[in-house]
Amino acid sequence: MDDEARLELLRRLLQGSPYRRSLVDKAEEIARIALANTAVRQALDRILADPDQARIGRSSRRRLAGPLATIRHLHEWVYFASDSFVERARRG
Amino acid sequence: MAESGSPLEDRVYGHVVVGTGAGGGIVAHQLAKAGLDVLSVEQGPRLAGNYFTEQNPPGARKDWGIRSYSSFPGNPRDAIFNHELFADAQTRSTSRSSERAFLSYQVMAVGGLQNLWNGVSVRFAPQDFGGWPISYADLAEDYAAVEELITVCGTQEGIAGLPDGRYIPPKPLRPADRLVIDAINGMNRPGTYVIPNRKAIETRAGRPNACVSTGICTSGCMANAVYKFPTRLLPEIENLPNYRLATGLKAVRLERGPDGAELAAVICRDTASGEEVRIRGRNFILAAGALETPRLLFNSRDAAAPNGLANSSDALGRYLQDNAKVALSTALLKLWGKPAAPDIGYGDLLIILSKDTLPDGSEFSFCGHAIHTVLDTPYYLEGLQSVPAALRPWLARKLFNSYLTIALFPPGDPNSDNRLTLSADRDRFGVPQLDIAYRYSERTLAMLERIEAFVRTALRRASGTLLFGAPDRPGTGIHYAGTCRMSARPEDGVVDAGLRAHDHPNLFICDGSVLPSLPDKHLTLTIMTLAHRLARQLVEKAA
Repeated sequence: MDDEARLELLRRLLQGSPYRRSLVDKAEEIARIALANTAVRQALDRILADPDQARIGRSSRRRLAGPLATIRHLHEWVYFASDSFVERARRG
Repeated sequence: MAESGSPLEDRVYGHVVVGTGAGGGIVAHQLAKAGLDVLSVEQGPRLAGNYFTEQNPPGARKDWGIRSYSSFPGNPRDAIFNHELFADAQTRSTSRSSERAFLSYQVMAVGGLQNLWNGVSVRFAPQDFGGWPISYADLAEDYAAVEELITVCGTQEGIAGLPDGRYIPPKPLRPADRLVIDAINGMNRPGTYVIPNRKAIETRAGRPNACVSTGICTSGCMANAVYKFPTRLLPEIENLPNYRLATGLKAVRLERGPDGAELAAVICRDTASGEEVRIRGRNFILAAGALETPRLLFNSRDAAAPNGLANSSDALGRYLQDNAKVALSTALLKLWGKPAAPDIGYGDLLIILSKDTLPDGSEFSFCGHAIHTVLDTPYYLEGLQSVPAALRPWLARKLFNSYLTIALFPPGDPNSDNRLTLSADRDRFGVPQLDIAYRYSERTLAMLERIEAFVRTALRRASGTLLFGAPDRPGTGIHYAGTCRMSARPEDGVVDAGLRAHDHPNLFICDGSVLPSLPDKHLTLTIMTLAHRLARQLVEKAA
């Protein structure tokens, strides 16, 4: 797998995130951090290795539930750790 | 070799100190300041000055707290036990299979575990020295000297079980602390106290290293407010002509001199080149921690001592102890939706001390702290997975300022069957590691049960909602002790009351391994105090 394919997949998965509106302007930073993370890289590689991914550019949600959840949790983590969320939360 | 300068093998050093953590830092500083010839040997590197400010700052100050090893969703345990400084299975003292019995945490860098130390600095009480060859009175002056050296905040309380020391003012308490104080005081338990925590932290505003209130000392301090040797005391001695620090050198074994009793050299491995370096000395002080120090002695075995050096008593590696721990977390209902308190300080602002009775009628004491969970890094997400995604941001904001953890622990369990032995496994340098046999006794399990009941009651009274957490696994107290125990008689332990090995007149040990028993209190201040006392005695002898 090469990083270009991983980045392209990350971009697509971010578009499907419920947090995309808050995260889209952080996409580049998220990608840099994601590729440096062992769990995320493994998840991306599993998705990219899926035969449907290569054939039609989509994956079976059931077969890839684990790796897709990892990416979903990554987006959720970034949203909850973002300055804007933490500042609002601190105000109560 | 990481340090420049003349080859280490060129001369004989007066005092070779192995390790630069709590004990090794203090003893090297005191000996060097007194003008004695000192070489500190450290396996790891010296962390860069910007390590905790830019390279790996605490919390979400960089990359939202996501590191290469972060897992998803976040787990609250990761806040403490996942850090890139913790040695991996190929670098640490213990074998991979030892994890089944005991999780071990080490930091191989100048300063050792104190790089991630929470700073709690409490004195042992006179009754905690039962079975030791020394008493509280023997250490009282050294306790005071160390408290001044490292700067401890706290308050004078006059509690018999928690002797007062010399303190600067603590940080102010927060609303959650008041709830805990009221809850525990309302339980009306005799011998129970909730007081401001005692921590080796500079709290005085205006000082260059004043606490910046990140609330998570165990992720490393950005301001160097928490004491550690490399930032506080090493700068005072590193340019002295009689002091030298050699990093990147792993002590592998000790070598005897011609008479067989005195030691002549420590054989080290250069961690970069793999070359062996033989460092000669007149005195050797082992301060590598309660796991690595016995490992070094086991690996120094020879024909005359097939079970390891300093081990004529067969006590080496035995009596491994850690404080078992109950940690329960909750969200306090009375703080739901409230704004954050202005100053989280160092997070664990309270220390709690209490006692209870077991079904067999025996009494035991326990101790620990209340900790504000800092949520900038969202380790709590695992707990929110049962809530619909659309509701999570709202609920997380409501709960954000209401989380609290109480972590309490009973005394250690000095049992000779809880022990370290040499393993067939080797680390990345080819040095044999240690296997661990360790089990909680029935008494420890019974104590944990009673402590858990105490914590549940306290948190519920403080308006705790859902309680989560439980007794933790062995080793996660990170208060390792007992494996080179101090004893009056040579047949009972490894070192004497002066921390000199019974078997070797120029070998000393000053780390957690010498503690014969572990009370219900954080051990680090006592390790540093023992190191201070050892240095004082060595200076007196040299004079």
